[in-house]
Amino acid sequence: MYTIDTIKDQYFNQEHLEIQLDKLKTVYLKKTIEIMELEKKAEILQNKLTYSDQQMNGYMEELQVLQIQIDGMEVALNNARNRVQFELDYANRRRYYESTYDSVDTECFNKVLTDEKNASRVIISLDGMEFNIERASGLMEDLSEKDYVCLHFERDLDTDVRRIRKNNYAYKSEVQLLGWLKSIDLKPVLLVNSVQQTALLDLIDAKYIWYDICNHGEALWGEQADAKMQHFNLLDIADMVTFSDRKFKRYTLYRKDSMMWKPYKGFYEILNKIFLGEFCTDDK
Amino acid sequence: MISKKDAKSYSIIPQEINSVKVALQQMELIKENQEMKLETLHTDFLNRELVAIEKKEAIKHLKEKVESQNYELAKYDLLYITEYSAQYKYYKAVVESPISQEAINLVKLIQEHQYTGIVVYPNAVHWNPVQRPQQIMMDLAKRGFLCFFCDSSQSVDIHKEHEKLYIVSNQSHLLQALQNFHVLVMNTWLMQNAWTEHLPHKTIWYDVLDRVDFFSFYDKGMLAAHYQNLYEADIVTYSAQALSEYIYKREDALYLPNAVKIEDFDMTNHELVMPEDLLTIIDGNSKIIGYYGAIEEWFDTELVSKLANHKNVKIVLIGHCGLSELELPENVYLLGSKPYSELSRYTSYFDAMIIPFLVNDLTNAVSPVKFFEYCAIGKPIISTPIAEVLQYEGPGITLVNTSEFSSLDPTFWNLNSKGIRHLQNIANENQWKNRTSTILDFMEKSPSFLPVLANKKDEKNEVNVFAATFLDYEGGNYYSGGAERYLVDLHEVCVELGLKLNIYQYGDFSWYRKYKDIDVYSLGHESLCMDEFTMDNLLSFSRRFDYMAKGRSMLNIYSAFFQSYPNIAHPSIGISHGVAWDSPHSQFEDGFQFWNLNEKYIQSADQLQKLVSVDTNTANWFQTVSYETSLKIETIPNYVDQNEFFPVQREGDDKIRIVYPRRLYRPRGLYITLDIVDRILNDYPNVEFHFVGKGFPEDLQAIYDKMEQWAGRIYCYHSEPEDMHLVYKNSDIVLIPTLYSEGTSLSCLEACATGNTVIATRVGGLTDIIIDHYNGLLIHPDKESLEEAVRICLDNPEKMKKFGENAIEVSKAFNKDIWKKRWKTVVKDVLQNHGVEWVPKSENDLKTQTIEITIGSEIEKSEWLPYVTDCLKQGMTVFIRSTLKPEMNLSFERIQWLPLEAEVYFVPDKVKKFV
Repeated sequence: MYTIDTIKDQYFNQEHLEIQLDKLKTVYLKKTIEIMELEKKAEILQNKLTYSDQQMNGYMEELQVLQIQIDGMEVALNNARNRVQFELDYANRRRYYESTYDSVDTECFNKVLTDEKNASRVIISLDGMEFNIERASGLMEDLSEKDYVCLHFERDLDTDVRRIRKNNYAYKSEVQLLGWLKSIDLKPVLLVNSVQQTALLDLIDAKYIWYDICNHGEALWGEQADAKMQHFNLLDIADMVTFSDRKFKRYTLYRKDSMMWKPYKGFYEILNKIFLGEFCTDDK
Repeated sequence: MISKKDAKSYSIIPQEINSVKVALQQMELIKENQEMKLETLHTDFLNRELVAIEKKEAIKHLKEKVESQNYELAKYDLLYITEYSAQYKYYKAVVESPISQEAINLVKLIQEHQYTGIVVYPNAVHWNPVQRPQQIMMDLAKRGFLCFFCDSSQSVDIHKEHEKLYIVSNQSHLLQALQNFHVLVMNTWLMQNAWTEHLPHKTIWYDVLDRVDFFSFYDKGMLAAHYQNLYEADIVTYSAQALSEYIYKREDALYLPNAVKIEDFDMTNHELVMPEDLLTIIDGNSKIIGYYGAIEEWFDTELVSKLANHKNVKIVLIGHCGLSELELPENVYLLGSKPYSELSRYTSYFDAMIIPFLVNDLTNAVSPVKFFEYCAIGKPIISTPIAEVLQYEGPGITLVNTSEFSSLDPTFWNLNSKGIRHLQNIANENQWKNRTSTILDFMEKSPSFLPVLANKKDEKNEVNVFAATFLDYEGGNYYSGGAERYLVDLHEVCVELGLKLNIYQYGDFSWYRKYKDIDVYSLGHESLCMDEFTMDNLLSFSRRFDYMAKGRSMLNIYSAFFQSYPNIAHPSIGISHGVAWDSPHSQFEDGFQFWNLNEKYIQSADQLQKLVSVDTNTANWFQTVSYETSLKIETIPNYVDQNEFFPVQREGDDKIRIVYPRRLYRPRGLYITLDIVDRILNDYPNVEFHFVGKGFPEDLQAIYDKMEQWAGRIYCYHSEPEDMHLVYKNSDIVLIPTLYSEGTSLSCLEACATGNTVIATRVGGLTDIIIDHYNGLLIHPDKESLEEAVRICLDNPEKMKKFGENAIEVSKAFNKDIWKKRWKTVVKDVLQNHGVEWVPKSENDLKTQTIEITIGSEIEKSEWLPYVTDCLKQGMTVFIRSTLKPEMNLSFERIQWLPLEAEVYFVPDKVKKFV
């Protein structure tokens, strides 16, 4: 049996405890809200971090691309610095030929004209890279058998001019060649297969030009714009344009009359026409 | 007061208080953790900020370095080439990589369309603002061309802008996807070449629409590239007369000025809502002069300012402003760029239009698209006298020299009927649709345009075979060996299943031929041929088949199976025609060497989903290397058609004919046979040797030498496969003296079926056919064993007779019908396992319709070219026989050029002659 007081006490006590519980719950709620806010802040910050990470990846990628670009540029620049510029090379060569050709003895070449009965049909190939010389020598050998008087360049010759066989000669000095051509009344076909040869070519007044493409553009004129423009110029002025492989035809498209010429497969009539003055350069 | 009802039970409150207290403590901990986490995140974020600043600085630094390097490069004329080379290398790597899923999806998308041809504009400008290339692409798409405009600014990979017109954001995928299509490429910027260079089949349309020195990266290198483009392009057009400075060396270049699509500016039936940014500008009291387009260094700000000085005039400029400093009066409003589709909403509120370009070499070489659009808008135009506008001077168009200009004539604003008519006429005469007609007419006059129309439409039921050779590399000479005959019969199997079997092979250019009803394609092209038999070349061919097959093939068959190395497209079946790698080179010093030589066989067999072998020898070899691989090999031995090959009563002569019925070369045992002929012919006067097959000159010479020695007793000739039964029916002993590389020889089976006595070596799959001393003699692969075996036969006619009878019986196990049935099951199973379903097509539906057109040497192309163009547009496959020697790249899929005398292996459905 409870007394009134006991009931009262119990009632107050319970009220007190319930107030305490309510307060605690309020605190709990507040804490929950605080935590939620903190979580929200963390989420925002996390999103920012994710975005920042993406941005960072973008920066890293951009940096990488830029670095690759710069590396490529540096390689290109180093190559450019280490290589002789075509224009300069052309000027140096030309200056050298001009200053030396009239002081060399050209007698060695005169024998060619006296020894060969077809001395009016002369084809001459010029100095170049190894592949240029090889290709030209092959063509010269072939053509000499077709009764053209052919001269090709050979660096390691022990004499100035050597007769290999009938109609087929090798020479070792372009300066002597220039001096000789300047001194006689002859209009030879000059087989050109490199833009570097134009320094000499431009000094020879009487000539027919046979431009033969025998390698990729990377090997023939590379990245040098002047050299490439010289190639276009050669296409423009050449009397005949040939190429050694179907892969190289694309370099000659300006000349619709260009043709493939492999050694020992001849388009001799066209050469004859050149010598007879029948070949015209209109069909470009 | 707490009612009794509400009050909690007294006893649980303290418990609850305790729980909440505990929970609060936990919350406190969580809060602390969270605060710490927040702090860490905050610190992280601050750190990132710092790193970001560093990175931005580094980027800035590198950009400055790029700038200074560019300056240096410009000194050497390397500005263009360096950028070009970098891009060129990137795209080279792209086409040398496995085909991406995105590219496969693009291939599928292409296949879903019916189109006249494919046109691509590689990445150069964004789709907006819509200019010349975009307009032309839209019009080409309308005319049935499938057009791809590459714009790197698009966020999605591919976006359908109009019917048959797609904007592609990643042109690398497109480059891979188009490797086996012939594409018309519209090129307006030289840097696009870096991408275009890697397209094997293309017709280039070089459209010069600005001075070359106007472009970024301009230097002498770019000028040289321009000339290269000019000479190499199939078609050259230019947009302004002043550009002839750049194109005069192409006499066939076509002047194609800009134009307008009138419908886009016709506002007659449109309900217009004023754009928001005009609301504050349009006040009803002022006249509005409008401009849209780029604002760059050639923009005449002086003229704009002078116009703005007029009372009650406002000027609205729409477009990207590239000028860092632009000082204009307050009544000039810059609204920024607007999409093309929005322009007419703005211009309808303008009272006049302006082209304020400084007059110089650059602007004189520009045909402003906006001029023609302004004409269509039909409002007064004021322009500086740039060359391409000057020619249209007349009512409605006011040309002013900025330096002399002071004020507008008050009549300027009122466009009279003459002015209206003049502007209308200009717009009508200069529409994009007319330009497209002009350019298409122009292109159709050039044979180089024909391949654009010649992409073949793939059928859904296509089974594509990748073989090294079927015809020779030029598309002539059918090899007629066992592997080729096998494919011809496999084609028969496919036809019976309602499938179309095509053969792809190595080749020197992009030819297509028919062998009977089989379509045979070369995977070669202008810069991929078999001149050099290098690993690089073979890998390129493998990749090309892979690019072709993925997204297009229903089933891929590799014949021989190692053609699937290293690239393989599924569903896949490989065919082993026998162990081909057992030559005298099979001598290994160590495992490494063994692996190097055999890797492609082992790996390709491992990758294939199914491997069909003509003999048990292949499976047995694999079982020693990979037990699992051997289990997926199904042996379907070769076959013989007993309706063709059957025994007949020999005509009564006393000759004994020994036949060597195979390719005349060493691996087939030619030389061990030649080694024994002297002694056999000497000892057996009634014996003859017949060498039947094709051979290389030096091998044939070895036979001819013997023939000279034994006149009338040794014969050498070739017999077509369909006539071989006559050879066997007239022979007694057939030699199959293979040294290496042998399967279940068709010759051996045919010899058996015709009742011959067969002497075969124990090499390859011959042991599957010959049981020693039962249906022939199985010998060691050397001349002594061969001679001994021949003597046994010649000395024992009864034995010979018995061997022949047994051979006929054994051959019945190799019936062609059994072979076909088993192959059908294999094909069905592989397709079923891959979830592929198909509707069988009739034999007629599987045939390609062909027309052969002969063109005489005197015939002008204007006579035959329209006819050929029409045939291609109708979907026919055209073979042109001509004395002309066309470029190899003019042949592509449905258009093929043949020399007049070329031998073909099919009868065309239609023939037409222009002679």
